[in-house]
Amino acid sequence: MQHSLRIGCSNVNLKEVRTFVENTLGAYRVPSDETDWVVLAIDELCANLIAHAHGWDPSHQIEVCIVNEASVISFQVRDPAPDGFNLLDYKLPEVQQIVSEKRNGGLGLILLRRIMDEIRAERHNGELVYWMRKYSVRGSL
Amino acid sequence: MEVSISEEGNHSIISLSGDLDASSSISLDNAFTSVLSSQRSVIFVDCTKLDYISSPGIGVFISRLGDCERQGIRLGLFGVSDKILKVFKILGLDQLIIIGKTKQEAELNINATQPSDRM
Repeated sequence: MQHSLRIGCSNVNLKEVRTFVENTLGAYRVPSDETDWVVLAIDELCANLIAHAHGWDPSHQIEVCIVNEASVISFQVRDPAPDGFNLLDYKLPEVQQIVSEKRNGGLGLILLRRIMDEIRAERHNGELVYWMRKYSVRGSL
Repeated sequence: MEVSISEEGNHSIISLSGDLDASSSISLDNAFTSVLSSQRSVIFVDCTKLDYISSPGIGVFISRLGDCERQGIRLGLFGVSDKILKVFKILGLDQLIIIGKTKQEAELNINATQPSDRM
């Protein structure tokens, strides 16, 4: 079973992403504390794509997919931009470096990496697909 | 997200309600700009009604903590839910930013901590 949400690349649509993830995982009876982590991770990935791959252009779209196969739940964020750069190629700073420099960038991708157990990016038919799993998140239906 | 500012004695209070994310973090940043200009010695952020935080919101706290330190102003958060606290914890930032369950606890923690202790 796959659930999908397509949004325009504007930060105002992040709330819709969070609600979509929360409701979908809620339907699979995923515990709320696990859902909270996934909601944050997907929000962070989408926010980074919206800003850095699409320059907050609401005419551009990305798609969030949640796939449940035999109670194994995986997550995808699909970026159809043909020349979209891969966020996973970005060299992450250390949290301490961010703190010492009192800057406010880079934390989102650090959170994404710390929350998800698996994350990879693959190009399929011109799309860049971010595929993620958090092992503790499983569906019960 | 809704942001309000109040002043009590030597401190300012920024109260947050709703979701602090990439679309709303600018509101918190603007609130800091306002309260930093009032030159009170302590800034509290009331998170009692804050439902959600993501990295842009946390980034505002980190960057504004530097402004506070340069001006000799102490910063403390209170009313932080377990859901939000665990986001600070996964980044280790609960050791950097003073957080209390209540305003009184945050005030005690501020008084018990020298500015240099957390850097």
